[in-house]
This record gives sequence, C-alpha cells and structure tokens, in this order.
Amino acid sequence: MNMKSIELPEKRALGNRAKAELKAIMYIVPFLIPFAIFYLWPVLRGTWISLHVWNIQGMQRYVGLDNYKRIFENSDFYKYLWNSFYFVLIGAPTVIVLGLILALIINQRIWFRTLIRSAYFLPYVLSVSVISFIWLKLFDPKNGPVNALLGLLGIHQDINWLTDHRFVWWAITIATDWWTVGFVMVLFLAGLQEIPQDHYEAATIDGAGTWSKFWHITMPGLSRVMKIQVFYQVISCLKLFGQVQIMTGGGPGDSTNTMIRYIYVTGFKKDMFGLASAQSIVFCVIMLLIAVIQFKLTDRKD
Amino acid sequence: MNKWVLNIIAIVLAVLFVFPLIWMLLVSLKPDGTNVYTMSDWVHFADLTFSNYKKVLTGSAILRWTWNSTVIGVITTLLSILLSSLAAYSFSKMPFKSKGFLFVLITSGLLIPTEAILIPLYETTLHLNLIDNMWAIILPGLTNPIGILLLKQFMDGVPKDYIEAAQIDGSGTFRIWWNICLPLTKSAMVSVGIFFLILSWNNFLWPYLTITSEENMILSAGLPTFLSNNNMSLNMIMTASGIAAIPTIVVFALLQRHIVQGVAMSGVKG
Amino acid sequence: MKAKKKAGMILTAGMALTLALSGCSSSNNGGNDTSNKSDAQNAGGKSSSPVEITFWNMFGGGEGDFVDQIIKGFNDSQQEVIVKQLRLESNEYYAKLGTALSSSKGPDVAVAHVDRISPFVKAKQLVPVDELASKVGFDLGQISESNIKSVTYDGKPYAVPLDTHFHMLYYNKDILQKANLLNTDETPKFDDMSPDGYLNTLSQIKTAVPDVQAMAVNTPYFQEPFLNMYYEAGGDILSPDMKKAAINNDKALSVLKFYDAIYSNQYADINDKNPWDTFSNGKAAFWFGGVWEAGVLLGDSAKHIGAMPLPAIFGSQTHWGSSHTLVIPSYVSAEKQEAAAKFMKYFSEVGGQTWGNAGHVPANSKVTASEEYNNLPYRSFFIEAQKTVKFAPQTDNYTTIITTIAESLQNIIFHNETAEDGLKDLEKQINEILAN
Repeated sequence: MNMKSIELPEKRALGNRAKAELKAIMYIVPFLIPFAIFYLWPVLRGTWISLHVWNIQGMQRYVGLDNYKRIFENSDFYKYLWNSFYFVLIGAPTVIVLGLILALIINQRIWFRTLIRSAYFLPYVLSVSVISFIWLKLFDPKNGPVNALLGLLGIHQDINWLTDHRFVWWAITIATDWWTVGFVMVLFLAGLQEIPQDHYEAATIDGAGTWSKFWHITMPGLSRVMKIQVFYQVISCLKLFGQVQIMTGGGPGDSTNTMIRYIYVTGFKKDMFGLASAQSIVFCVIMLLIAVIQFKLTDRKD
Repeated sequence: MNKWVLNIIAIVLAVLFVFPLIWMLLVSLKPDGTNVYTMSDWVHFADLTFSNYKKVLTGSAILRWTWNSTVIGVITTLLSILLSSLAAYSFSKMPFKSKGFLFVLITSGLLIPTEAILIPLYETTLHLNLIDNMWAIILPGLTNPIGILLLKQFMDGVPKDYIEAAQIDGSGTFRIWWNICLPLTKSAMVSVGIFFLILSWNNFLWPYLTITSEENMILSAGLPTFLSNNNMSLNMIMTASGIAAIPTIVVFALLQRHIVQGVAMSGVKG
Repeated sequence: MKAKKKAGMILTAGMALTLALSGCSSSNNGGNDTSNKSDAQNAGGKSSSPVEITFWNMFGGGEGDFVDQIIKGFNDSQQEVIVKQLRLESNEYYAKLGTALSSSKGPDVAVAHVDRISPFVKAKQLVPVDELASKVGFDLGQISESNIKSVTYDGKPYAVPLDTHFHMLYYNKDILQKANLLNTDETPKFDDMSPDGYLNTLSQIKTAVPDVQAMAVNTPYFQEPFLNMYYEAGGDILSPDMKKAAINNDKALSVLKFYDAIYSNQYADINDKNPWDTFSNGKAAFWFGGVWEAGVLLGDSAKHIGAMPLPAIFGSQTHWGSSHTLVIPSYVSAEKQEAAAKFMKYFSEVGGQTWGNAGHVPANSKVTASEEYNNLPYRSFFIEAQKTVKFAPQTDNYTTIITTIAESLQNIIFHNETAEDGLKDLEKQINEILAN
C-alpha cells in the first residue's frame, strides 16, 4: 500500500515533465520548421553533394573526398581566400574607425544634428545592387565624377579605379564603407550615450585633456560595442560578393574574386555543383573557426 | 575642439556622403546620352527632364518589383517577429531539458551564411516547387536566429512577479505570452522587425537565382537584370537605380528615428 | 488592460495583412501556368480557343525590340496560337533554363545557343523537331546545311536554328580618313595582312589621330576577340575526339602576344569597360563587333561607319560564331508542341526578315536569298563571312569550359599570369573538366 502511493506521484511527475517539455518545444516549432527545411537540411544535403560530381541536371557520380582534394590542390582557392581576408584587413578597420569618428562628431551638439546623422546613415538603407551601380559609374575613369573631382584637386591623370590592381581594392572599400558606415556609427552612438556624463566631468575637474579623456573614458566605455563591431565586420567582410560581382566582375583578371563569388561561379556558371558545395563546406568551417577564435580572444581580454 | 571647425567638418562630410546620391539624381534627370562631369554640367539646369523616368517606368516592371519587394518585406517582418517571439518566450520562460541543445543549434544559424548553402538550398527549393515563388525568398529569410536572441534577452527582463500574478489569475501559458510578454517587448519587436525588413529588402543573390519571371522579380534583384542588357546608357542606369532607391529613401525619411533606434538596439543587445 | 488590447489588435492586424498580401501578390510556380481549361476542352479534337505557349529568351536591348515585333506579328497573323514571352537576363539564362528542363516546369519553347544544347539532348530533355516540322508544314530544307548540321545528333535535328551570329570588322571612316588610311571606295587601307602588318596600321592611326583608340577591343568578353584570331590561326579548343584540351600551343600564344602588343602600345584601352560604346560614339577606328550591332552602327549614316569581314590577320578567314536556335522541352504536351512548332515555322520563314534587320544572318536560306534582305547595308559581306564561321565543339561541358577560358584569359591580359603559364594552367583545367 505504501509502495503504491509512492509510485503514483513519481509517475505523475514524470508525465508532467514530459508534458512541459512538449509544451515548451511546441512554441519553438513554428521557428524550427523553416529552420530545419531551409537551413539544417541544406547544410546536411550540401555535405552530401560535396562528395559527388553533380550538375544542374542532377546527374551525379560519387567521388568521396576528391572535390576537397581538388580545392586544396588548386592555387585559386588560396588566392580567393586571401582576397576575402585582405578585404577584412582593409575594410573592417576603415569602416570601424570612420564609424567611430562620425559617432563622436554627431555626439557633440553640432548644428543640423539630425539632418547630418541622416546623411551619414542614408546609404545603409539602399540595396547592394543600387550602391554597386552608383559607384561603378562614379569610378568610371573617363566620365566619372571621382576622377573629375581629383582633377579639380590637381590630380590630372585618370585613375583606373576598377581595372588597376593598385586601386581596385580601394574602390571597393570606399564604396562598401560609404554603404555600411551608418550602421557602425549608430551602434557607437548608442554606446557613447551609455557612458555616464559625470565620468567626463570628474575627469575635467581633475585636469584631463580631450585626448586623455578619449583614451581613458570613451574607449573603455565602448569596449563592448567595439567587440561586437569587430566580430560583425569580420564576418561581414568575409562574405563580400555583390559589390565585386557588379563593379569588377572579380577583376582585373581575378584579383578581386572572393570566396563567395568563387562558390557562385563554380556552381552557377561552371555547372559544378559538387565542387561548389565542397567549397561552401570549407568556407563554413573557416567561418566557424574564425568565430571561435574571436570568442576566445575577446573572452580572455575580459 | 574648436566649435566652428567641428561643424564645418561635419557638414563637409555630410555633403560628401550625399554627393553620390545627388549625382545619381542629377544624371537621371538629364537627357539620355549626357553626362554630369565638368563643373558647368553641375549647374546646367536647363535641360532637366523626366524622360528617362518615363522610359524606365514604362519599359520595365520596376513598379511591380517594388510592390513585390514590399509584400515580401512585410510578410517576412511580421512572420519573423511572430516566430521569434514565440520561440524566445519558450527559451526565456519555460524550463525544459532540450533547451540547451536547441539553443546552441539555433545560434549556429548565425554563423553559416546563406551564400554557403546556396546550392543545396536551391535544390530544396526546386524540389518543393517553389522556384519563382515569393515563399522561396520569405522562408529561408526566417531562419535567421537573431530575432530569437534579441527577444529572449528582453523577455528575460520581464519580472517574474508579473507572470506569477497572471498564473494565479488562471492565465494559461499562451495567454501569458499574449497579454504580458508581447506588450512588454514591443520596442524590441520593432527592432527585430526593422532588422528583418532591411535584410529582406536588400536581399540580392538569393532572389537573383530563384526568381525567373519578370513579374515575380523583386527590386534589388530586378535591377541588375534590367541593367545587364548591353548599351544601357549612364542616364538609364542612374534612373533605374534612382527608382529603386527612392522608396527606400522616402520611407527612411519618414521613419528615421525608429529605424536608427531599432538598428542600434539590435546591434548593441544582439 | 489597454496594452493587451493594443498588442492583440496589432498582431491580428498583422496576421490579416500577411494573409491578404500573400493573396494579392500573384506569384505562382514557374512560367507555364497556362490554361488547363483549353487542355480539358481539347481532350479529343480541334481546339476552340487558342493555345497559349510560353517562350523564354534572353534578348534584351535592341534585339528585344525585334523579337517583340516577331511575336506580335505571329500572334496577329493567326488565331490558333498565342505566344507569351518571358525575357530572362542573359547572365543566368542557362542556369534557369537548365533548372526548368530538369524540373519539368518551364517554357513551352525557348531560345538556346547551339553550343549549349548538347547536354540537354543527351539527357533527353529536348524533342527532335523533324516530325513536328512536317506536321505543321515547315520544310526544314530551307535551313542552311551548316546550321542544320550543328543541331543534329544521331541523325535527328533537335532544334530549329534561327541565325548565325559572329563578328565583323566595323571601321570609322572619318578617323581612317584623317589617318590617310581610307581608300577611295571608303574601305580601309591595310598594310600587308599579318599580325605585324595590322599592328603597323594601328600605330599609324595612333600617330595621326592620338585622341581616339586605334582599335576598341572587347576586353570584358575577351574570349570572343581571342577566339576570332585563334580560329583564324587554325586553332581548336578541343581535340577532334573532344577528350583533351588543344589550346596550349604556339598559335594561342601568338594571338595572346598580338593582343598584348595592342594593349601595351595603347592602341586599345584595356580599362575601357564599354568598348562597344566607345566605338559607337566615334572614339575608336576599328571594332570587331557583333553582327547584332549592325542596326545601331550601320543604321545611322551620320556615324560614317562601314563593315567588312574580319581581316585574315592570322592567315585564314575562319572565325568564331554561334547560333540561336529554338528548342522544345520534352515535358511539353503534344498539343503545345505542335503550337510551338507553328511558332518556330513563323519565326524562321517570316520572322527571319525582321531578325535579319537586327543584324543576324538568318538560318533560313530563302530569307538570305531574298532581295529585301540583300538590300540591307553591307549585307553581302555578312553572307560571305557566315560561310567561314566555326562553331564551338559539341561537348556537354561547353558551359564549364567557356567560363574557364574566359576567366583564364582575363588573368592573362591583366598580367596576373604570363601567357605561357596561363595557357598551361587552362589546358590542365579543361582536361580536368573533361575527365569528369
């Protein structure tokens, strides 16, 4: 008799827990359904495809890790990987520094503050194709206003922004920074506004100069935002595609070809889906590695 | 810093920033075949005309594309808010065993970009018969977990007493979400909505690949389609770009404050 | 609670809006949602209502206008078939067509370049057109022999060729006049016909008229100018059995050195992304332009532009060419196949003249023999040049190979790698592709 009355509550507790589990999952199911179909499944399927030679008509042949071998033995892969990283090296710092500067400016009580802030932010709401076409034409060596402006400033030689190795990455960086700096600025602004004013006041009383205040109050205060920004910009720069596709077509030659464009061309232009899927998997792994490295680095700093 | 110098710098930068857009506008209003290059071109206002706009608007389905982009954007935004909110509620308020696992699984969605799964995604879309269908663009857009992450953070901030009080009153789980969590996370939901809206509006590569018919095309992908015909003059390119950019700029001008706030919040908390 | 009511209303409104909008936007699956009604009606005999067929093509810009004319002409000329066209962007055309053919959801009739149809034929995704043609009274014998041969597999034709298109030498008479290189009959005066001789001519132009390009070269699509000269030199892309690459040789090297000299001596501007515009605007003396540009370039006599077959710089008149064809996917119903065949017949016989106006050399020999066609400017040269055209090898991997060649060439002309290394690398890549 005693045993029975002990069993039942336990069973009921188990049953209740199962019910609770189910209920909790039910709320996640609406999200999980598209997530599973349009994300998890393609990731798994992509891995499967990467082990085959596969074209658009679905004709296929199992080749195991051959595709991966081909990727690592082909110097193009390293070239394009380097290109993607190169853009991180010039794109991320420039946009972050520029964003910080603009945020600092806006944070002061300047005239027409809202208007000017809108001017800096406006490009961000445009789509990648619009900004790419605009800058494609702005950088036209013979008819574009950029060279015209440079001419006014005394530089009379037409710079071939999009076809000269020395300038093409600057062209892409300028266009991309112009496009995305609004986002960076806004985040820094929010961060700046969270730093208590009295810190600055106390420092002024102590006799600290502007630069000192910046280094010892502003920068530490922005550290959390800065970390998020760096993380986000690194990932964002690695995914460079649209601007390159429209402004340079990967050129001159393949100097501005990036990982993503490489995957796109291999799959959709060369009809080699298996190889393209393998490239995608490799790219994913690299992204994951970078994310993990960044996490570790920023955790240690804290 | 000297007040005057700061202001001048700010204004000069602002002018530089809008310069490309002004040039685009000016070129689009000049007759087909003319360029705005020298200083005199800039102030020559006599030949401004809307003829390019007429040509592009009648010669392409750009308005239709804008409509498609709008529909897709609105649906994506609403659905993403809904799905994210429900899931965030569960993660935030309900204890269950598989929570940890599911949470990590969902967060991994942040790391792998759509570009890396283009091909199997294309194949899946093909098999589901969704090529050239707007749901082909909407559904993959809903897999971004940033909405859940953001809303969970806010829901964590909903005081336990509110919920307990409602439970004592007899409210079920769903009602608690509806009556309490939703209203209290309103500003976060707006953030999430704006984030997904901008993402959806500017989505380029995926719609470029999956939409085949001109009438289902969306704006950001339709533009390169329209412009890739050779012999497109500078003026036409700028006109088409202008038409694509103007609705965005107008909406931005009207909702500026919310958009900026929303972006800030999603970035700082996310 | 007010907050609750507000949130509730917003959400309900949101859901309602979502549903309403998804209904409003008339997106549907693919482009061939054509009338199930008429199919049901036509279960047995003749159709009482016209059959609607969808037609995919990639003709934008100037060519697009001509296609529109042809379609309108066809639709107006009879009551049995209505053609609805869908214009796709040329960059993604074959990815989308390939998808459509594989998924059996797509057009009822489509344009396809002759070099792309091989894999589709092998995968049995296209129907042979000979029986269909005789069913609708279309005599395929009108099509020129070289064209029909190019679409024949195992003795059966799988497409209806519409045209042959290739490049001509367009020249600016005014610039040549200034350089004293214009004959009295307004044709260009050339030095001896060899690479060095031609370079000499360019150098003379540059000296006499320094503010224009002596020659506009199609840098963005460099594979075309390259193949033109390479075929002249007797080169091939693949070996005759199509199992190996045949592009790494002295002929290719000499062609590349030739173009490199043109770029490095500034006879052509390598940074010009729109060379066709440059020539059209009178800023270049020579241009290996497409026949499809004839309308724009030769139609306006104020431009003082003339045309002639490509000069035999590398020894022969063989040059690159391709051809637009019409194909019918195998998933198309029998009734629509016949309707499509009727459209093909019209396009070839009647539309051919309009198409000829666009600059292409029609595949239909009746059209090319007609007085109307021959009255178009310089057209006799076009017909002559068509005879020495060389099509691409009929390989399944054409798409991959030509993309690889285009990429390699870009690297070579922009000096990312030397011509020798580039050709070696290209050969290796093509062999890898063929081995698959």
